[in-house]
Amino acid sequence: MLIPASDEKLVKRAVAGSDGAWTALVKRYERRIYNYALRMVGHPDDALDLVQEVFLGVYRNLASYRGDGAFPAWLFRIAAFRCTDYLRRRRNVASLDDEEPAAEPCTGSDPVLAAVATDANRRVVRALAMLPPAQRHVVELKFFQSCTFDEIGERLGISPNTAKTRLYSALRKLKTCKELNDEL
Amino acid sequence: MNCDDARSNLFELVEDAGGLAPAEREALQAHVAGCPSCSADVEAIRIWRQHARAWQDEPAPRWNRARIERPAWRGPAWRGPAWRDWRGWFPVAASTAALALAVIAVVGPGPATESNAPAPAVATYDPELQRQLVDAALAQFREELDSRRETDRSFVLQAVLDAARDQREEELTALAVFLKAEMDRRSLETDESLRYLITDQVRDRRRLEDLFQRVGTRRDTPENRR
Repeated sequence: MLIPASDEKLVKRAVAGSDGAWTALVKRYERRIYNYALRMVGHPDDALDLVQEVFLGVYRNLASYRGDGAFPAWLFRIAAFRCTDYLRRRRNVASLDDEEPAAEPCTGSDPVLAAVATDANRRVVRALAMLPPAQRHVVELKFFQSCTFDEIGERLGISPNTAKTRLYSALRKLKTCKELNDEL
Repeated sequence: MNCDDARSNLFELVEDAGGLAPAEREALQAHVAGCPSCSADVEAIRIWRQHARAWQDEPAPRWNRARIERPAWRGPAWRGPAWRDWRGWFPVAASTAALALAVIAVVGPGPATESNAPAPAVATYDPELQRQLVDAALAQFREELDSRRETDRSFVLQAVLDAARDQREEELTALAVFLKAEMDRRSLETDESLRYLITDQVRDRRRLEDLFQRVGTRRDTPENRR
């Protein structure tokens, strides 16, 4: 059985000019990045745009990846940066609109999320959309990427205590999402 | 144990992965059992853990990976060492060789001899002339090759400089965005902290008033008066 090449080997080969190695790297991580982006931005089309932006950023900076940390952590740092940037842009656009939308409800059907495969996923996306981006990041890292508070702090450039405070604030806010809490 | 201490370990309590010493675990369980706030947090953690487990990764939609353009640091498509690219040097070498052969064919007989002997009917082979022609052709070829090398070197240098400049610009942009985000975050956190402090103080004041009222009520009972 063939052992798949390690990330570091693929990165080295991609930097040396191998298109095959680059494609293998993208195929290995595009699904995880897409799902991460979907949870963060709550919109399938925007998530796909973000996947492309993330991999474009990775491709341009691949030569500067020194291999001193795990490749996925480096990749997700870029993804987090792009998501934050995207959410900030969206907030700025929303604030320019004449009518500011009310706080997003976490119940009801949403045509935008029709493309999301399962009801469980749709509920999670809707619930996360209620949170401000900073809290959403922490929930994502804690529950979906199983990071410790120290790791969350390191990833987001905050102290572990701040990460903890944000998480518990987020959990309290999510308690108001009846659909989510009734389901389990 | 207060709520802050408890919250540091609520995940360990829910995960039940043996991260807590038995005594610590018991103390935490006792606190949670008597604290509605921490007990609600434990319930929320449990619910979100289940939601995270129930999440089924969506397949990534098809997208055009070719949209990612070749970055500056990779320069033009890599074709191996320059000398291996025969399409570059072969036409020059071939034309030089053809020119040399043509000159040999035309000038081959060489200058007329000083003697009055009739010129030979067949062109004579003059090794010296041929050597000179080949040398000239080789010199021209070398010159051309050198100029190509020089061009390649300057191209590579330019590509490296461009890549370094692009990277620097990207880093500065990233830094600016990060600083902006950091400033936004800090102002947000200050708001949250202030709100928390004010709420906390109001709550404390209510508790104090409640306590005064209870003490006052107890003092006014007939048993106390006696």
